[in-house]
Amino acid sequence: MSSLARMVTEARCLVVAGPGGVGKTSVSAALAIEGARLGRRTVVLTIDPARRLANALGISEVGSQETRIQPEAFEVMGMVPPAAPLTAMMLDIKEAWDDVIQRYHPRLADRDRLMNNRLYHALSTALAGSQEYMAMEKLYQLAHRKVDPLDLIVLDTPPARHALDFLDAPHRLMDVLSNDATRWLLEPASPGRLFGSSGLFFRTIARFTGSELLEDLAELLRAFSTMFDGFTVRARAVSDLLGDTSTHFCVIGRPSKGGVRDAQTFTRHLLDKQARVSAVILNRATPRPMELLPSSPDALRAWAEIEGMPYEAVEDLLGATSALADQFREESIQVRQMKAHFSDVLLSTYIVPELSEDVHDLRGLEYLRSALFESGEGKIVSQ
Amino acid sequence: MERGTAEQSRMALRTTQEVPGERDVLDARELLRQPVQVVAGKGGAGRTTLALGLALRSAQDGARTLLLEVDPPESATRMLGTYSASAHPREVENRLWVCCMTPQAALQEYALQVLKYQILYRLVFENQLVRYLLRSIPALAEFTMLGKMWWHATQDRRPDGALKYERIILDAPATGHAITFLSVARVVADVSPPGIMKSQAEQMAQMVERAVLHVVAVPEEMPVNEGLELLSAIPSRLKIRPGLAIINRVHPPVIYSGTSFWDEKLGCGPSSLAPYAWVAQRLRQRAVRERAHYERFITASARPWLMVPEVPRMKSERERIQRVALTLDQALTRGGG
Repeated sequence: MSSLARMVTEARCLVVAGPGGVGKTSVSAALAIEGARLGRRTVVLTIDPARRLANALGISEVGSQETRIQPEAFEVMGMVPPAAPLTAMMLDIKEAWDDVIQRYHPRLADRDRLMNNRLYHALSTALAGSQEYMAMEKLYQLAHRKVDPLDLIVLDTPPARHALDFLDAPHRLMDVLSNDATRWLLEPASPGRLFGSSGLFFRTIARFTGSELLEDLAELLRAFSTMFDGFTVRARAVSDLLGDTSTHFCVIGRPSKGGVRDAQTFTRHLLDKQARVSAVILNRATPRPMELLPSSPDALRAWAEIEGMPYEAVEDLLGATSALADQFREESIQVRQMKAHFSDVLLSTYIVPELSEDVHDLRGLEYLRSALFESGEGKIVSQ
Repeated sequence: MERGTAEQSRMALRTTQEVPGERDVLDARELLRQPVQVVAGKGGAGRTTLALGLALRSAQDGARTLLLEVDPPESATRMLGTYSASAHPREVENRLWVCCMTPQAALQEYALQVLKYQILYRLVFENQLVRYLLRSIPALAEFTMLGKMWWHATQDRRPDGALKYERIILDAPATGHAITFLSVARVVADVSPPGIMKSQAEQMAQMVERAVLHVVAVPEEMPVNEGLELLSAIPSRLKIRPGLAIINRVHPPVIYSGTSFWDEKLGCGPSSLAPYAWVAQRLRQRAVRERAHYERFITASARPWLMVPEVPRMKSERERIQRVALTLDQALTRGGG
């Protein structure tokens, strides 16, 4: 069994990471389809704010609620539907925040006050950074669901820096929440320490913000403070899950020079954070031109001349052929170089050749899936 | 067939690969003269290369130009070679400055301007507890970086009183984050009560609202979708002026690649030439596919547009960027006078 196949068979949580534009969402969906085909109840969750998943899955709308990919959607494409249910969901930050408050906030009156807090509103609707926390909450909910428990969670992540942000999010939150000083400052009994009008912090920060905003912030933090324990428990659970042996990471990259360099850096970062990176997938590789058939430019030229074909058209074709060949060679060098770079870790490299069509429906995902699971590891598969 | 016919067919191909109309070219030139420009698009669409190409062209056109990158890629500096990334603008070419913004440096710069005293800054901002809190405030990083951009765009002056940079080009984060990044000032201005922060945020928001947003897409399904999604966020979710639709990395036309010419000819040829038939088929598929995507981008975006062909790898990235700048220039001199 290839290590990718083993990963999809055994993992409970599969984190798909990598820089932007490499096909993370499509690969995540393809991995999820394989999981479901193996009879595992699978969900694919994207926390990328750009709404691509619906697109890649060929369905019109994926909400923040889990949406089942109906068996008919596969049948229409002439495919066999997977054995187990496959669901997809996207993260809607605002909804996720509200959900957390509704679920975990102990006091109804505070709950409403919080929901009406201006800062809370901004935080939960428009601002960046909170998505990592919410992705964490969603992952927690999915992993701890009692009804219809899941066998496999495939997690698609936002590009580059943000994937590491996601990994860090539980730690950052625990850092802030478990810090004694934070607790002491935010204890309802001693709010004056930080936000009283005489504090140095208050006076300095108020020079930027005006004092009302700080009062809003104090209210927000106080309201949240009743939820601290819950946040901490869940953050720790997610941190444990991400570090668990049943969680695997998979880095996606492109086989070009820059692409391999990015994938390499990315993988190193994850390994440094003790993440279990089991596979690197280099997506959309140039297929081997010619398939090594005996042929030469001169043969084409000679034949074209006899046939009376336009000289420039022949040269154009030859030029395009050698450009493809160069690109193929360059990518092969890059792939070899990357394998050598990671020879010290147990890491499988997969190469998926470029499709003649873009992957944006189930058929494209099926191609991706079969390239990953049916043609063996590290092999260049021709179309 | 004679050579003349081949040239004709090449010409025919060139003209069928669309060229922006005169009106589009004039609009494009006007948009590229704007003092604050943002380049955005899906990850991997070549934003940095294009932003750098636009900046280089602008500098070579005579305008003092600042290219701002958002933490942390440093890719522009990497592309230009020899220079290491700098959190402060650094002149890397004649009239071209590059700066890779980081939230920490931007926050410090900003705070120091208001606080005046380094020691007070240290006391408050470098206090460990406060650092924890700052780190956990969502969007603070985006806000301070946008603040730095605002400062360079409106306050940063030369001794003679003129703005230090006549043009600022921002290499924005990828789609979803670009919307967040660019709307953070508006959000802060709307939620803040009257005070320094509100007025600052208000001015930052106004800078964004006056800026133009160029959207870059490569001719593929999802980059085009995301590019269109970004433009459709204006003005409901994102208040900014729409700029150019830029189609990046279009493969230059190869003669007959859009037809079945090679299939027919090589189909009857010797089997040893079959690999060429395979290449020709691949080229045709690619040409048809790319065309469908960029036509969709052009039609649906209804923006003045530019097309930048795939630039082959060169000896150095610097050369490649220069080539992109030249291509942009050519695209802008075609059409109108």
